[in-house]
Amino acid sequence: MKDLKPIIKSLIREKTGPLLLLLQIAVTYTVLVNAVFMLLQKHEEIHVSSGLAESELFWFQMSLHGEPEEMKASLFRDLEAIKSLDTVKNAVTLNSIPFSEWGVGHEIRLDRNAEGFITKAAFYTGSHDAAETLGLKLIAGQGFELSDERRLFDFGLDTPSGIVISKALAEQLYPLDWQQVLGKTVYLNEDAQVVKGVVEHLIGPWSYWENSNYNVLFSTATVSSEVFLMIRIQGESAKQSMQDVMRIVMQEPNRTVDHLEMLTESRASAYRSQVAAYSTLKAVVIGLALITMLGVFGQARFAILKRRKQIGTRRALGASRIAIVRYYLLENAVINLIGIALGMVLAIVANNLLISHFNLLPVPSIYLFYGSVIIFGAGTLAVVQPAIRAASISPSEATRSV
Amino acid sequence: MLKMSNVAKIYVTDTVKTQALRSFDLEIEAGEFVSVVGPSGSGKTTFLNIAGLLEDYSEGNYYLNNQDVTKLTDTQKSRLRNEQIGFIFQSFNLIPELNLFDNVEMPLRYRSFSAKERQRRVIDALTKVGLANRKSHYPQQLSGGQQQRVAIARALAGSPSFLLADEPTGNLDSNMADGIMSLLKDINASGTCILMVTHDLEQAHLADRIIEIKDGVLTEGIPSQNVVA
Repeated sequence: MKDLKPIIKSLIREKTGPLLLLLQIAVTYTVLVNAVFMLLQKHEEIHVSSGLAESELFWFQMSLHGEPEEMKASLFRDLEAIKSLDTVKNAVTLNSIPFSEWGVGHEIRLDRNAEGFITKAAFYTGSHDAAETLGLKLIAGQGFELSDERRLFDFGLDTPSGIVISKALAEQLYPLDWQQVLGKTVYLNEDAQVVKGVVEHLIGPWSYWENSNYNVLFSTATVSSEVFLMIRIQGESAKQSMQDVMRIVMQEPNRTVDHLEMLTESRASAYRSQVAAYSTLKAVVIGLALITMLGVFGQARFAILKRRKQIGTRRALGASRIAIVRYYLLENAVINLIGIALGMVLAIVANNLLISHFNLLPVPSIYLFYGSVIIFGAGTLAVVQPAIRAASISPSEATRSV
Repeated sequence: MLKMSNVAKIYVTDTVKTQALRSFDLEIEAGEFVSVVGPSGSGKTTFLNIAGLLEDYSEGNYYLNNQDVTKLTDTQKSRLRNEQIGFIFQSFNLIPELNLFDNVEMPLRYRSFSAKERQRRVIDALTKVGLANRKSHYPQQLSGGQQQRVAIARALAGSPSFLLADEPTGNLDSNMADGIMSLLKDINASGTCILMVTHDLEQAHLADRIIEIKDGVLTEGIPSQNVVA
């Protein structure tokens, strides 16, 4: 550490070269910390738990014909027939399908007369056994019984029938103790409903919606000219199950079916653009990190090798090879640390700008720490080879005339 | 103090072997002032590099203060250079980003001196060359002669057994050169052995002995005028 003082003095004296390197490190740090945080957030978003048994579920939309009562009879006749198939575990009707981008949302209040609302949530309404069929995990309260199920031609949600909500929504309503929500009356727009149960996860119809984890489940099957059916397969073959189900539903004259697909496909389709953005951002971050490392490597190499004569002189005057390596590693560490300190300030400023302009979350301080370790490690790694090369410069370089 | 026997240097590349220095014997006693003269490309710098442990020799034996340097490791040679040899280079080789104090202190940092001891030695050495009052200046703020004085102070600060001077006045005008030669004579008078490579016959004659190197052959004696460039 005897070299520290002269290193700092000479860096101050030299200015331009170290300053450029330092700025490069600072800017890289700023970009990397923010970009990596965004990447991880995006990763979390894409891989968010839906709470659904996705690989065992497929869905489709089908038409119903005739008078309302005929449509209702047709729907439940088909549902019963589908449920009796060996390749089907269960089948339900739902007003909306996760990831499908078709759905309805409500404003949620705890006080009917409150101005504004606590949050917005999407709702699913359908057969009483929809939660079990979807694979949702009930973690508090109770689910629906057959006796809870109503079969209506409109939504009819103004009738108190009880609801099951997602834990994320419960936490939003009662941040201190989400279990307090059980038995409480909540207001969906203006309509009162009592919370019967809470499921661990339930993803909404809109993957890109910031409230996609806030969802409400009703036990009301609504009948209209177009209905959605969700089928949980029995056994290994989804294809066989689909064929069996289609054979039943297509027995009805004039029946049309649309969107026959596995829920895994719906998920992939919903997140396609986000996955593309994630992959692109990842490639850009990796590319940027590599380019910067090469830049630091190049700068360090140039800074060292332009001082061949000086290194030869140091060697001639008694510096061992280790002393030369140590000197340049220490010099690089000083530049790195100042660069990281500056980068930290820039990263916080940049993050604040991103928060205010794009509504992003603040970068947690642990990311600043990890960013520092990574940048310092990469910067040190980049200078090791040039430093070792510097140490191999012969002391006779000192007496060379050119 | 310095004893070389059958020392030779051959540079080998893929296809060519070049005999830079033919086998020679040389002995230099403590306190001597020896000049080495010869035309460009004759092998003077190679000889100086070998004497200063800056370069390995191909054959022979070299004893420095009775220590056989042949089998020393690179680190041991570095330590020996640092503790026993002071170097003065033709182009001074000062570090431009460091002030005079830090330049003179630089080789001392490779030893186990305390900061206080280093400071004492630096100030002593700068005082000897008359530049103690300019210790905070940078090399580019000094004349060539002054810069060479700083280089001499740097060489003296470690109290070496001998000084190796490679064309110490080669980049200086005659007035400055005279000043440097006078300083070297004073240093020699105080007991430090000096081995100086020079082009200048007049300066060479200020030494106790003159060694001539021509076409890699080292001979003792006073060279004829036409030998030296």
